Amino acid sequence: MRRFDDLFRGVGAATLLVALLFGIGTAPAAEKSVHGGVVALAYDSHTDALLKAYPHALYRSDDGGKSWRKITLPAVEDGEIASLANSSAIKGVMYIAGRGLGVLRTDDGGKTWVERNDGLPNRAVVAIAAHTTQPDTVYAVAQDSGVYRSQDGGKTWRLMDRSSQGGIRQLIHSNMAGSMQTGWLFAATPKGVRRVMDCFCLWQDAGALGSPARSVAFDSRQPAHIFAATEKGLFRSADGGENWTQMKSPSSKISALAFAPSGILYAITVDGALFQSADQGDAWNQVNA
Amino acid sequence: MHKLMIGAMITAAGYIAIARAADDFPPLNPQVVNSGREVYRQYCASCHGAKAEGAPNWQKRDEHGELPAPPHNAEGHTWRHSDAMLYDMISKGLRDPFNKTTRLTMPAFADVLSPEQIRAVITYLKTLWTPEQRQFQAEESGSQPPMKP
Repeated sequence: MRRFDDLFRGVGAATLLVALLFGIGTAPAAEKSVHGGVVALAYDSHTDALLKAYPHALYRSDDGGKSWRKITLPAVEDGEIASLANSSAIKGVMYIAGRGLGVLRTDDGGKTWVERNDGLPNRAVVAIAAHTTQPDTVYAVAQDSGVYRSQDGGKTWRLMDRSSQGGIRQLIHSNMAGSMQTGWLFAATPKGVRRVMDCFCLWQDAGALGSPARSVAFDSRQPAHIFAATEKGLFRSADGGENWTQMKSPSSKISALAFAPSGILYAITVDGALFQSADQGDAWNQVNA
Repeated sequence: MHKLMIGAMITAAGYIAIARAADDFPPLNPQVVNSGREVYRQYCASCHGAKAEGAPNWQKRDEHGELPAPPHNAEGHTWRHSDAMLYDMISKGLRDPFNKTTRLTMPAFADVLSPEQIRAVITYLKTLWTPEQRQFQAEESGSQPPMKP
């Protein structure tokens, strides 16, 4: 067993040490060299905090991304974070998931973590999504096995859909109207954004983005407003993903999106450069330049 | 001979396993099933198919931009819904929000069918599912409020 911290080595560790000694905070480039690129971004609406995940580290910012502090993770053998989901239904609950990691849940904002893998086929979990309104419902995508659902906070899992849609990179739950069940799931996939009611009745393409999608987010105040980061840039939809409009993109390397209930859309590059937009992507400011 | 006996034992074990799976949920009342089958034949079959096989190409939007009627058999997704949700859909109707028309694609039957008829047709649909699908649907129904009214 080893801690994520043990992965600090070589130039990356030295860079971080220098940064800490001089009290200048950790620069995004230094974080990337130590932890790998940013894989996920989330917004905690209960505490107005941003969360970002690297394969081997998790960070929290309480000032809109200007500064970050590391959240300590438990010892995991050869695990890499691929996905992060913060519960909008219950304060303090967050999940991380990844290959070799399975699913980990915290109930106290990251102070303590418990494994939640009983009922999953293996620890190759590539995406995790928390239900927007049901505190104990969570979805996990197991690589090559399909999508699983838990209704007890991850204690037990049930296979809901054998398809992984060609490789789901991110999964989110939305309370957009019109579902036969309790909401919708949107997935960023190599085929673009796909959506399904949370009964898993029929997966469909969400419009015709025509580009692999890296990340998807939605406006919790207007759930039909969807945002997508793709290999062709950033897109937004005002009708649940039927029609898309290309937005200005602050970088070609946006790897993850998150939307704050205040109306701020956040976009982060694989290198950790964070941008924000207050007008749904018409204008962007870099937060941590 | 020895191989034949082993084969027979494996086959018998398979039948027992299926029977046990089917026994995990209560048996369906034959009278209610027959009543539901008649309701289905009269009100549902024209769209969902005589054998509940659904409309052709039900997974693709048609020329009106609507999703055609899905199957109710094991090939469809009806079994994914609880009794309460199925009752609601039959009673109130349904429109896929991404259909290009504004009408209810699935009409409301609250003014056409009695509560007993709606329950009966749901009971009939359960005869079209696999044991695993029935098990799933029974558990979904158990975790949600019972059928109304």
